[in-house]
Amino acid sequence: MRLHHRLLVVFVLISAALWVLPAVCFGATVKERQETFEIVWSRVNERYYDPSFNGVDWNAVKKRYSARLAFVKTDDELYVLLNQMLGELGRSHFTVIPPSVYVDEEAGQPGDADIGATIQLVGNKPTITFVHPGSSAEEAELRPGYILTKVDDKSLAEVQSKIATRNERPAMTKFLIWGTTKRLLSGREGTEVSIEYLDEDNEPHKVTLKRKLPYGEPIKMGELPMVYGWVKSEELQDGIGYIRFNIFLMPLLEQIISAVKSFKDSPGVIIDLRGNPGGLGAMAMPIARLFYKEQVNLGDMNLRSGVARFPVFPVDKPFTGTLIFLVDETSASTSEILAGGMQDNGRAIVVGRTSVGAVMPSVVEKLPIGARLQYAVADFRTPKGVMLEGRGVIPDFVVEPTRRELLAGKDPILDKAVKLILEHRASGNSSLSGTK
Amino acid sequence: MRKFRLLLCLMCMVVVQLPLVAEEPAGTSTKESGSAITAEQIIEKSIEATGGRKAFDKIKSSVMKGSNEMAAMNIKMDFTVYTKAPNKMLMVQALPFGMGEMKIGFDGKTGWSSDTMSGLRTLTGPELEMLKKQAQVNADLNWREYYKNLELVGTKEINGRSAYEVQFTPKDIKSADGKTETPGLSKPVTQYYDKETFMLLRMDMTMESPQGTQSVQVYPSDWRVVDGVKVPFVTKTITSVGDMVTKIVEFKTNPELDDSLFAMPAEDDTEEAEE
Repeated sequence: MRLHHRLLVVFVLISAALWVLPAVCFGATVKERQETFEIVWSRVNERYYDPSFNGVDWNAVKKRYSARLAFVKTDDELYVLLNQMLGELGRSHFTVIPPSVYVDEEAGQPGDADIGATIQLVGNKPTITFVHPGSSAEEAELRPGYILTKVDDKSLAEVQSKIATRNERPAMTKFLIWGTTKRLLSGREGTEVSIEYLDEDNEPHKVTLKRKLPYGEPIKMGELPMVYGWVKSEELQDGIGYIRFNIFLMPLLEQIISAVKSFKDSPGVIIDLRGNPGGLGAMAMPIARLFYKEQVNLGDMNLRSGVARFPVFPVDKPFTGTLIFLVDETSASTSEILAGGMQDNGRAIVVGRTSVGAVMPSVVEKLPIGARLQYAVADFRTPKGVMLEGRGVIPDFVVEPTRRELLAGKDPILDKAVKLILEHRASGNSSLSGTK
Repeated sequence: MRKFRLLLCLMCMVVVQLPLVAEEPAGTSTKESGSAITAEQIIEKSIEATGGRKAFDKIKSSVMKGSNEMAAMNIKMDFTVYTKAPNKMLMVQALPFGMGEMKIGFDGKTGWSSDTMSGLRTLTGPELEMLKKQAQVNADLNWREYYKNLELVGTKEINGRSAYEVQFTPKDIKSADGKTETPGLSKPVTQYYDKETFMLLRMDMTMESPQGTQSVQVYPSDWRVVDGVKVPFVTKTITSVGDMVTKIVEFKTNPELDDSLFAMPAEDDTEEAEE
């Protein structure tokens, strides 16, 4: 009995998941589309953790969207319809991913090449916040602090205005700007994308960049699209340990564990989860246990029937110094489970901007027409019962980077974390707590 | 027979200790209102239908290989389960997405588990008690050690077949300190037996552990005779997370198994593996 249970928990945890944003992209028959529609609706009907469907009349939703299904002429239109239907639930992790996202990778040519720059809202402007070494963006001498105005003649101000009309939470609005810009900049390896930007003197420029495959190791997890994973680890001033990784997937775990252990004598360790959309939920536990002397729980996932937990069993020689997580609106799902859970039980403090609040353990199934359905099967609550979905991890120390700081080559969020560790060491206090 | 019961349970990834004794246990309500058959008689007939006590008793050890599959998610995980009388067990379960494997063992005294998520652990409290129950080859005969009540609660239609509904109520199990008995840690298990053939059609249970609580329905099928006993080579488990199908591809009885197979690995080995 228990054997099986552990396996089921593994399924929930492996799902907990990367949040894939809905995307749009022919070929299925009317019957196949009808069948796909039925499967999508039924999966949610049977397995959505909340039998009240977040207050939504799910049967009424089916009637409304069934009527619209008759007017669907292409698969793309079907995906739009299905994602709109799933959107009625008002929760993250409900997405139909078109097969086109997968076709390229199956042919050995992933379609997620990009220019290697992260675009986020800074002072309400889509601004470059990070340029990856070796990327097209670096070759074009793009720098953090530059404001992006257009991608392939598409005005980002218009994109921003359109997103603003959705009246989302600030963190979600920022996340949508980041996600939408990322998608606009992505494409097949070797293809070109034209961008327009303002430099440090607000001088406009236009440049055409060739997309490169993302930095990192190509990793395939179940029915999710291929992703590129990497781990960065370095020693900062005064021996402070700094670890950053862009996704929670098993091939990266050993590097992360090694990095933490290499900083065993450090006054503090900083784990940077900015830009990390989650991944394998189960990975939160082997990372967390490196910092605990005793058994704790990172939180509970409530299923349609039952509860699955994130128990953390200690290691013999955990890291006992200060632990700080860096988060912002691009930190989602497993990132939020790890940071939020450890913040909630007092082991870690969090610095940065509020995370997106997309924390729904989900599974991904292949549909008959080749698309994949991602759907949430549980909610997640921290040890103190806080539901992070729609709320996010609220930093103990909120830091809003400015354009001026970015142009000066600074990383204010990281700088704040370093400062906290040094201050804490100087004070001689045994614990560093937040001031949320 | 006892052996078979254990194997059956492991295949279904559940363990339900079945009563094999003929005498009426004190305090056990067994009669469905108006029914001429008792719960114990149903279990006894089920045992006979699947081979009989003597056939099961001949099985002193086993190796079972197979896979757990969630087709919709394109997940297939191989497993091997080793058992040895009277109460040794080891399960090695491959996990997807590069998560390595999960091992759970009981050497007759110590229960342990090892996986990437939690490392190597000695199991205590309710976890250990449940594992002991799983590993107990003679559990069928000793069902009273684990269940305080067995009741025929009615009949039900299962996949077009009329079935007896038998409920097993577990005893309170020891808490983590090993001293006190904590009620309610294990929920009743309900099993459904074909009214004509007495073959098991379905099990309903709520599984509890430090990893949480989960209710499932288990449907054994594709019964094949191995060494005189019937074994369900396919088992479908329905959960709120998704459906899982367990398929057995190989089932050997009475192989030579060294006791060291079931022993907890050395701590250092695991720590080194984590380095």
